[in-house]
Amino acid sequence: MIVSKNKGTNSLLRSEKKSLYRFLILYGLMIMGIVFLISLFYYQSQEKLMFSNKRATLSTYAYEHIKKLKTLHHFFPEQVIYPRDSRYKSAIYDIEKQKIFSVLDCTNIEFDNEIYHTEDKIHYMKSLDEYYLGAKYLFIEIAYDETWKIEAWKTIVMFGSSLTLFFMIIGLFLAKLFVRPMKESIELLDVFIKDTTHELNTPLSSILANIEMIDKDGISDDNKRKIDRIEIAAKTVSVLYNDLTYLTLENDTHKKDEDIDLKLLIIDRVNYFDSLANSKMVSFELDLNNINFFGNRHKLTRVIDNLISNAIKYNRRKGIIKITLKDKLLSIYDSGTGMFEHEIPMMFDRYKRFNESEGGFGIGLSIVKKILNEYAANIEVTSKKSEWTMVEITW
Amino acid sequence: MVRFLLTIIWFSISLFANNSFDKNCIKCHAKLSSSPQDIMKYYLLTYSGEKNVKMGMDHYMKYPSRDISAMPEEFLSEYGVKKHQKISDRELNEAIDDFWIRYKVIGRLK
Ligand code: HEC
Repeated sequence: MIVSKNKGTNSLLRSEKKSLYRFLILYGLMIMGIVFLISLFYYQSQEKLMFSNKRATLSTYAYEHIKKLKTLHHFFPEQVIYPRDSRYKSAIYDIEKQKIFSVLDCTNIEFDNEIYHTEDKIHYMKSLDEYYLGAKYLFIEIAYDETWKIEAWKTIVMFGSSLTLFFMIIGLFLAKLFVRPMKESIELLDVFIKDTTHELNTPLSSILANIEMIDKDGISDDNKRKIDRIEIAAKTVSVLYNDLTYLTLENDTHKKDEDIDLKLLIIDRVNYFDSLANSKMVSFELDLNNINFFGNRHKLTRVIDNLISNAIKYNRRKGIIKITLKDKLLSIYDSGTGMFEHEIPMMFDRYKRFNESEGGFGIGLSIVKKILNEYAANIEVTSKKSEWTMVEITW
Repeated sequence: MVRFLLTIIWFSISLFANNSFDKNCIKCHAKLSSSPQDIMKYYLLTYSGEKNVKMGMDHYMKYPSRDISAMPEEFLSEYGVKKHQKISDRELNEAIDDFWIRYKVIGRLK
């Protein structure tokens, strides 16, 4: 069992929307991946650039420092003051990685990297060719300022987001391009229906009016049954006709809201469908309270008509239909074919039919949904396959 | 006179000398133009670390040769390659250790 809540319907079907979303998600992920890679590449190249800039300065410092070591070596032990410089700090280590002298702030030293940085220092290591004072390794340490990092991040965020935005816009454009043929075919169908319904009106009203005018007492039972069948057929077509005109001319029926006695309306519609229900030996059970609703009579008729005609159409022979009307609740239960869970969310899509053996365009429920949305009413469908379906409207 | 004094000094040193370097090496090296400190600096220049320096010295003591000397050319030509040392390995090692402790650079810079 599952419940389907109102959502806006438009001319795209749910399955098409799904594949559209999939496309957009996939596309989005791809773009994010690409932007991420580009950012990573940029970040690394910025880091390299920073290091190579620093390396140039550091190697000058190292060169100067080695010259001073050479002098000190020469005058040792008369001179024992280790050369210091305000621009950098330094240390010398011998070939066995023993410290000879150090003024570094940072005590853990790496001998494997020529240049590396700790949290706040950059270390540069220079191997001496001549071991003045026994020094094989010279370390130069300067402060590691992270301004380049901030700059790099700024650029990444700025370019990354504008790039993502740009690609997303292109993605939306592409999606629209894909969707257009689907939309077009649905619109084409709409136009076609609009044109044909227009031509149906006169013949249909003439048939229904004439059937009502027939004096049924003066004809044989056999003919009476035939006329009943004609009436049923005509009414089925009439429901369809009304749905279609509602769809194509829906704006015309606006604004004529009035206080409507729902109980009377339902009874009227049940009577209207009586002959149809009789043909399938479906019986109605009504439990109706006096409830008024402020709305458009034509629209509410469409809702009730569609729900009742579905309940008949998808019912079994000798089935029942229970209609309950209470305060802010209208429920229609049928002992019919039911639906699978996964079918329920799709049933409000336009042109969707589950049972090809039954007639119709599959537009009835999409109209119901549309009208209910207008009145901020909720529709919930629960069903059990092969047993029953229950439609509940609350407002 | 100077010579006499030096001999006296050397004599007294060697009498009271309690380490191998003073006993075995100072007698010649006090007279050389390059002080032991200078020799140490040359050794550091070539060998850098403690073990390396000691190994180098040890080797040179046992197999002195012009080719492997850490000293500059002028120094060698002034004195010629020195003769093979005839002291025990243990004493040589001690002498070299003393040499290192006395003239090393580590711990003396400020
Ligand atoms: C007999 C005198 C004599 C004694 C004893 C002597 N040396 Fe020398 N030493 C020399 C002379 C001469 C040289 C310079 C020639 C040379 O370098 O081969 C020299 C050079 C050296 C050098 C430089 C070697 C080089 O690479 O050229 C070292 C190191 C050295 N001595 C260590 C010692 C030590 C340690 C001892 C004590 C165990 C010692 N000497 C005892 C005469 C002596």
